[in-house]
Amino acid sequence: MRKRNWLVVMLLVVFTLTLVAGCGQENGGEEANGDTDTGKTYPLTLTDAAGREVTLAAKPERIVSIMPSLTEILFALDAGERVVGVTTYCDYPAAAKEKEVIGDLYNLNPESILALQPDLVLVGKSETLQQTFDFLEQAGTPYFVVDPQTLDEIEESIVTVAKLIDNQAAGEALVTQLKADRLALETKVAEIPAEERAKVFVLLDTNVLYTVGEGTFLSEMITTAGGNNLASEIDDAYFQVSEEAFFELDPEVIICTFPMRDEVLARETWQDLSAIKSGKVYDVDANSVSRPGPRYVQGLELLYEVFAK
Amino acid sequence: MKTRNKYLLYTLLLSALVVSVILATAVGAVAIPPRETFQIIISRLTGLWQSSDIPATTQAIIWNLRLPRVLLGLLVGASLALAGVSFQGLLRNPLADPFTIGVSSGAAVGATIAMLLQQTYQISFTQMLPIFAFAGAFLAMFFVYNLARIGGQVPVVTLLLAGVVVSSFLSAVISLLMVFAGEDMQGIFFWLSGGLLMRSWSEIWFVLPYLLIGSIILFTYARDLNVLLMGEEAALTLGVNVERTKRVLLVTASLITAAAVSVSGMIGFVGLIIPHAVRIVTGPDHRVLLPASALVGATFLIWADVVARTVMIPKEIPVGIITAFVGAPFFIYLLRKKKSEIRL
Amino acid sequence: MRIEIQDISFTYGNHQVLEGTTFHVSSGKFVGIIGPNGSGKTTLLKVLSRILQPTAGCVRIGEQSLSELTQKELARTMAVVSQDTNVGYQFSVEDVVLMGRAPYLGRFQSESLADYEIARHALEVTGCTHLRDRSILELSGGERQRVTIARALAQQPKVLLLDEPTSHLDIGYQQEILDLVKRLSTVEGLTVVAVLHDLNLAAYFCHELVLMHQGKILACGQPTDVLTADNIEKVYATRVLVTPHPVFGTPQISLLPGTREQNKHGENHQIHVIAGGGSGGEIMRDLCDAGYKVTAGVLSVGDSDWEAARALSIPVISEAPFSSVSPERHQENLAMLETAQAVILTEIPLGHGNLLNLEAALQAAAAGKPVYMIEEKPAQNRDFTGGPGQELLTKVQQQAQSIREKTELYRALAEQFSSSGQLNDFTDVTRPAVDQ
Repeated sequence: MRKRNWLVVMLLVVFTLTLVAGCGQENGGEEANGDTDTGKTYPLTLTDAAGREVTLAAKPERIVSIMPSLTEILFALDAGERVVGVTTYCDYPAAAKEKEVIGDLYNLNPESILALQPDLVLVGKSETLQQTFDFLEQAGTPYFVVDPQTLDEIEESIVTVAKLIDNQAAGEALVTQLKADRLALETKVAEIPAEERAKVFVLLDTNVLYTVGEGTFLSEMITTAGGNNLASEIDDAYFQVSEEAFFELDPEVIICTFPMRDEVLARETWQDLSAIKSGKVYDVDANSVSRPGPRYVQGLELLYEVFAK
Repeated sequence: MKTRNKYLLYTLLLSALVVSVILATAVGAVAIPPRETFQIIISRLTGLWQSSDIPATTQAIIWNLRLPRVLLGLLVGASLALAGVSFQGLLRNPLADPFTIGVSSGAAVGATIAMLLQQTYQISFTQMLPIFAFAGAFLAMFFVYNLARIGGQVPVVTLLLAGVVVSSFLSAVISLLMVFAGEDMQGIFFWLSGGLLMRSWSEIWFVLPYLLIGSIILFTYARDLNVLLMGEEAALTLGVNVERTKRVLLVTASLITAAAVSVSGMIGFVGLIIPHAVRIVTGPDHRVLLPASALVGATFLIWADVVARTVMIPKEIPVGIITAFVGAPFFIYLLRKKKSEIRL
Repeated sequence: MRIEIQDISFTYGNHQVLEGTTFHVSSGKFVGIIGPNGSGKTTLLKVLSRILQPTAGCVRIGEQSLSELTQKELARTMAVVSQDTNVGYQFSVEDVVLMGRAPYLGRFQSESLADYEIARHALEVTGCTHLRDRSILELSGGERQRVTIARALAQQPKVLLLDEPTSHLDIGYQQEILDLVKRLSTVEGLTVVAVLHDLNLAAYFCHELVLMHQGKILACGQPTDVLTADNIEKVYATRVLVTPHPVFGTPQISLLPGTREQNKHGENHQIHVIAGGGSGGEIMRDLCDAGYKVTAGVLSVGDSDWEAARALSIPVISEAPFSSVSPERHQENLAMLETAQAVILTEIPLGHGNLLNLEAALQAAAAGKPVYMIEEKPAQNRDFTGGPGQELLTKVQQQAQSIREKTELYRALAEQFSSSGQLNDFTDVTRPAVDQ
């Protein structure tokens, strides 16, 4: 699982890069459909993250999700029983693992999706899967792109999905809760002076120094949780740095997105690094810190605790 | 080559190598003044020149990152060049290189398996990777050798054919493993491209014995390698125990290759180009060609790695890409310029 | 150094290449192994040089069995020059020759001045001194072969084995190399075994010959005993003429019309050739080659045309050496002419002793047989009778068809037999009893 996670994350970044005005249009979609009237009848037309107008003829009862974060959102909106298909990566909540698996992000089988006879497919942004999406559309199965890249967008996407599946009440409640939790955390973080914030480096691999920079969800998570992502100074998105550059950054905290703390601590050439000397190398559950779903506040809290140590 | 010229050449190449090590250690993603570089190394080696005024990070960069990396480049470059010379002589084929008989494919399979185990069992495995790669290389060599053996002999042609067949087969195995690996392919890809990044002193101690013992054996057999080039039957009548010599050279060159590949992945072209380039200057006498190629190969890989780690600061590109970019045009130049030398 | 080959057999797969080969080579002798392709010569040489292990039997060299020697000891005793002189990579000629010193050097030992001196000497002896700094890859096949011999000499061997050492050389170098090899054996006592293709060279240079046939030794010993026409016909399936070398008396092989059926269009038409003094040998050979039944007469024993006729197994009327044609022989000649369908009169040097042969030609013409008279050169030059010869010749000239060139003759004959073939078709011509 070591590289699996960051590759999933990387794929999400590709989504980000291709997303130009996704959020704006998403907001536009909301406006176009007016207020949050419950009981609003179908057909319902919403604009998705790709800027497409998607019309649902009736309330979706058979939903397929091809993103772990979307699966989490659906379950968080109490629509778990309407989910009929998920991917191999959809491991949360436990009930999601009981659902039919239709492949992974790299290997979607459009036929097995159709075989589930879904009335809505929730997808992330992907150029590689575009053919599959087109296939679905031609087969008369609507797909809807949801692709949040920031914390705010997560909340917006929850609202959008709630509207799409006619669970607005649950959506409102969830978002309100998330916002409150986040605000509480942000208040605590605001008390930390800028110079005292932990200098953090995210390690995605031990064979190659892959990390995350500016403009990534993970980087925003770190900043929000009171850390200072050093790699943000170097570049955007996901990139590889030379070991020397890594040494020069000399992070105080190293966040590993998969279990490799012992290995990092044991690296003979790294013994002079501050984070190694102080032992501040932490394995964090990649799913909670890098999955733009309803558990992001838990991820923030986890990071906050790590930085506060 | 005249003895005087020979020693002049060795002196020249050795000085070039030493200067390269120093310069290459002074260059990197982080700017460190050469004086400090020198100071750190001297201080660490002899304790004479105190370097406590230099920041610990700078010291760590020089001593823990650059120096081992430069030295590893030196060892791997020397290993690949030596193995290249040996295979070209042994197989009497100027197109041969350390990877011809499948040793590297074996290493790649070993490394891929190590990465897969890592992924599947979520265990920290980085230290085991060279050992797996080495085991793979060794098994591949063993397999090729036995496949090529007819009676008590290992004809060069069957050896080449067996090498090609086993290489192709192992490539297929790698592809299959990559399917299992799914998105972990990235790591395998990086490994296959060859590189010296994220290495440490432990890799140096891993390669060094193979290179040292291997080169002593190769130098011991240098004249036999010359005589072998007269043809195997002629070599027999000139007093060379042909089959034993081939076996010793094959195993030695393969082990040197295996060790080098295990710590650096598949760095191509060094083992192919360096022997040719050196042969232009020294002639084909292996007693000169072997040590000279080792020195040139070491220097070459050090500089190729300097390019690899500085051309896109603060990022890096695999050094195998640099050697290919330099090596392929040079090889084409050789082909066009010195057809008689290459004799295709 | 004496080499003893005892009952050597070598099997390659199911194919028995050598079968119970036994012979020996005395110290200092130059022995040639001859035989057709596939007779096992090269295999025998490879067994001798231990490149191949015999399936049975053993080779002793000096006091020791070949298999007891270490590879280096063997290389110091025996040098081998094989047919394949290809070398990988650009070694200089000197480098290659110095490799001959390899069996004398320890692993880390460099060549000493003495070794360079030996190499220099080897280059000089083989006439390669001027090639010393050239790349071996730039040399011609012949040059490379000489360099390879120089390398073998640098080994300072007591036994030298050569596999067709002159195959790439022109005649000058062939002789030079074999001269050198012979000198090494006679003067320096080197024992030489060479596989040779050219029987004449083998006969000329070797002290002894071994003739191989289908993996076995057919004959061995002195060249005169080995190179008999019978042996050669048996082994090469071709008829040859073995004559003593005009100067040294060693056997010389000359080719004869093959017994292998080829291009025969003469279909047994009898042609009588009146020749003498070497004027008819070539014509008789060509006619035999073309498949005609050739007869000849009258020829003096020992005349080169008589020799030719004998070698070609042509029925011939013979007269005693240096005697005039007797009336008896003339009558026999006429009798032989009876059955001939064409008569050829070659440019015989005319003397009083052979004028009867011209008479015979005239009679044949009178009997209506086509007479072809060769006149490539003016006739005056060969009349040594002071008149009568020329006179007779002119008479023949009037009744015969004059031929300016041999090809013209063959064309005329072919035409004669195709147009009047029916008329003259004697399919069952019985040869008169003749002197062989």
